[in-house]
Amino acid sequence: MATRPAPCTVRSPVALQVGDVKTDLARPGVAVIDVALPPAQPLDLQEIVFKNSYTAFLTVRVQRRHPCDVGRASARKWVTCLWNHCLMPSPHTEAGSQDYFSLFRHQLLCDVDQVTAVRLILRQPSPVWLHFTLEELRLYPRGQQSLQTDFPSWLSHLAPQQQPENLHGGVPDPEKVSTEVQQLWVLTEMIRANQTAARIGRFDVSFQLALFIAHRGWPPVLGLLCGPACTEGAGCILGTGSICCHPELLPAGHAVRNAIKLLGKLLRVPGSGVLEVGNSHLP
Amino acid sequence: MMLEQDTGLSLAIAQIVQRLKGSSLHSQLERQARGSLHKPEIKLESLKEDIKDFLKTSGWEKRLQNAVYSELNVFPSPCHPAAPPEHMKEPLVYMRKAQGSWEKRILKSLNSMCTELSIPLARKRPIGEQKELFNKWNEMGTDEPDLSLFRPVYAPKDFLEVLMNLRNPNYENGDQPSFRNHLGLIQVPLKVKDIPELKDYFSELGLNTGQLGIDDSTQVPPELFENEHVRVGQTVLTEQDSAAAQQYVRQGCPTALRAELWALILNISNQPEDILYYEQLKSNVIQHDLLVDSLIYKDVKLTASNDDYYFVFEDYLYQVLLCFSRDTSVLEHFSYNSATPPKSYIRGVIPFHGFSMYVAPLCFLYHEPSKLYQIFREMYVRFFFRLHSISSHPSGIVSLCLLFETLLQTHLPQLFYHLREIGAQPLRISFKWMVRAFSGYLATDQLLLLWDRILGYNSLEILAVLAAAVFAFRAVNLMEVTSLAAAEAVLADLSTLKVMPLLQIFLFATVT
Repeated sequence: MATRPAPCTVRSPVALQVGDVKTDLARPGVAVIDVALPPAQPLDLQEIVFKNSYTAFLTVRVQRRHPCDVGRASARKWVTCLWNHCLMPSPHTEAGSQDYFSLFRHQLLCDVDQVTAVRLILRQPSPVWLHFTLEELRLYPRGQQSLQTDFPSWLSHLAPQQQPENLHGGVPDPEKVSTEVQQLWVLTEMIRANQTAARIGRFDVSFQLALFIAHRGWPPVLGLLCGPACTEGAGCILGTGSICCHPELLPAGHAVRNAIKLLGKLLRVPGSGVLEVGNSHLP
Repeated sequence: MMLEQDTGLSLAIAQIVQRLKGSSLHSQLERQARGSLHKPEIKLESLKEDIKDFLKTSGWEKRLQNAVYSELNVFPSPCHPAAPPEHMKEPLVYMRKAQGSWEKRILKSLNSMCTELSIPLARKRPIGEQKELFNKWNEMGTDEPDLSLFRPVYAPKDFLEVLMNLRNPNYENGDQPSFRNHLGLIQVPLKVKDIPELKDYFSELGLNTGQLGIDDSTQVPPELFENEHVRVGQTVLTEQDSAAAQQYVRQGCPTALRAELWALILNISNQPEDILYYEQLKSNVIQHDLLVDSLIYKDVKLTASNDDYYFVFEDYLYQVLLCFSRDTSVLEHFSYNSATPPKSYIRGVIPFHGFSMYVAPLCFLYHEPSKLYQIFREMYVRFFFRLHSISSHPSGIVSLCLLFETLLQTHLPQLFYHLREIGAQPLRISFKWMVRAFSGYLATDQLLLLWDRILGYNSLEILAVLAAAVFAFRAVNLMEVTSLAAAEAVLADLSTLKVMPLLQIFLFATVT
């Protein structure tokens, strides 16, 4: 899904007006934007993307080069590939006035291969607007999609839940720890996938863990709830009023600390997903 | 064109899936699917189809449908991928800027109040105070703290001043009066519906369709409409279908069914985790004291406690609003709200004078604090936030004001001209009605009938139509007044008005 727009030069809009531009009080309703492409690189156009700025109707003309026309500049022809496309359904009002638009090749009236120049004709019949133009104009060549069109189909289906890993030997209190660690592992996997925008509910475990950062060479783990000894006041995103703290603040002794150390090794999770979640007070 | 529609559809699907994934509904569905594996009718060969059928028959598919429908209603359709996130909040740059400076002003005012009164924005309560508050949780209204030094951060008329000064820099705002200048107070050229479009949009309010609020009055025999309507309502509740409920309430809700129907439309089910969430917020309230709390107390004392209908619910209001000000999930809605949450201890919404009136009518329907809280929160993130932030959305307050003024000018031009000449611009009177969604101005049963339609049409435009209809109703008296104060007096008491006949006459029975 590369998104490199084609290199081109966009000139500023030129108003088409009968009479003297400077002294005439009436506002022009038509402007033209010329887009020049590098001369030796005719473009197969896929998409035109722009941000509207109070233009009501758009006409697009392209200059094409035919293979038989090589060497004969006069034979290049201008064709209209989009005629009076409506950008603002009600030109006296704001609807559509600052929106982003995409024009795809299949929407255009003619073939847009081997394009050497593009001309955009802007019309704004309403006299209430002081200026009208198009901004952020980009042309995308064929073969490179812009961001939207290339959706993998799996995004439209629910992803299957992944099974948690089995624990290995060397764990103190294996039965107790393993049941609770499995639940926590699933939680971290969900967070790490980081594809959810939904809020994570509170997790009920019988002992509480703390948050670490890269500390004595451990991988950073994860932060969840904290013990009652924690006194810092800022709330975390879970809204429980409790936050994450260093292991030194925990009241328990070696057993808990060892369990936590082991957890760090077992989970091998960078923890970056959770660390981003509202823990601004961490050093 | 077809390709564009397909890609737009798959983008919308992907966004909804992303929002529902990881929600409690997702985990419940998976748990149900896993549990169904024990059932004899699930065969391994046709596992996927059998599980789908099981979910359909057990009602879980309907819940998923309701959740998807809710997401579609609340979140705007996906933007163009090139558009930055602030474009989704509000596409017009000058409106974003105006909202930004308004927020700065409010925060500045709040901060200066803090410094003046030497009160911190937030502090942790000592243990004794926490215990006391916990014991008194259900009767906070008996407290009489000294709030004389506090004043509301802003009132609706301050906000109106800001809206009046809103200008598009690219619009011809000349000094000379011309066709470009609007005759009313709002000078922004937004698209609003006219009466033919409104007739089409609110077609279920037409003269040929039965309405609660009109066809259930004592003179009309109930066999004609009311009995059948109640029966249909009960069927909708049994089916638990959000979309059907939303269509149903356009003709009004029977009083007995209203609480459940609104909960169905807003997709509130009061699961254990929702109750737990509310309890967590409650413990937040007990542990920390925010300055915003004093503002809430003051607002409730000034407005709801003085109201004949709502003073009994004073305690409920504290229980809901104090938790609401600490609720960080409300921040999610800011992605489609033109406002930005303040980056300090005040994590949510800063209440203004009259804010508590959004909650008060709901107390008639819901008596359990956690359910009342969730209903209010959902109503806020769907509707009420639009009434006090600057945006170009058709249900935003700016569009509503412009709609009101346009309707009045088009259909009552003499009245509009007369009021303008005597210095009583109609919007100055009707603004406060619309900002509060008429809460506190109408009788409660009429207000609930109005809010039925807000939910049914998922839009606040009916507030502007009602405001214009009220002016039309009292037009004869208004033509005789000669000052703003006299005009205010004519429109001071709306408690005797019947909402649905007014709307029907204005939309469908006025000769234009």
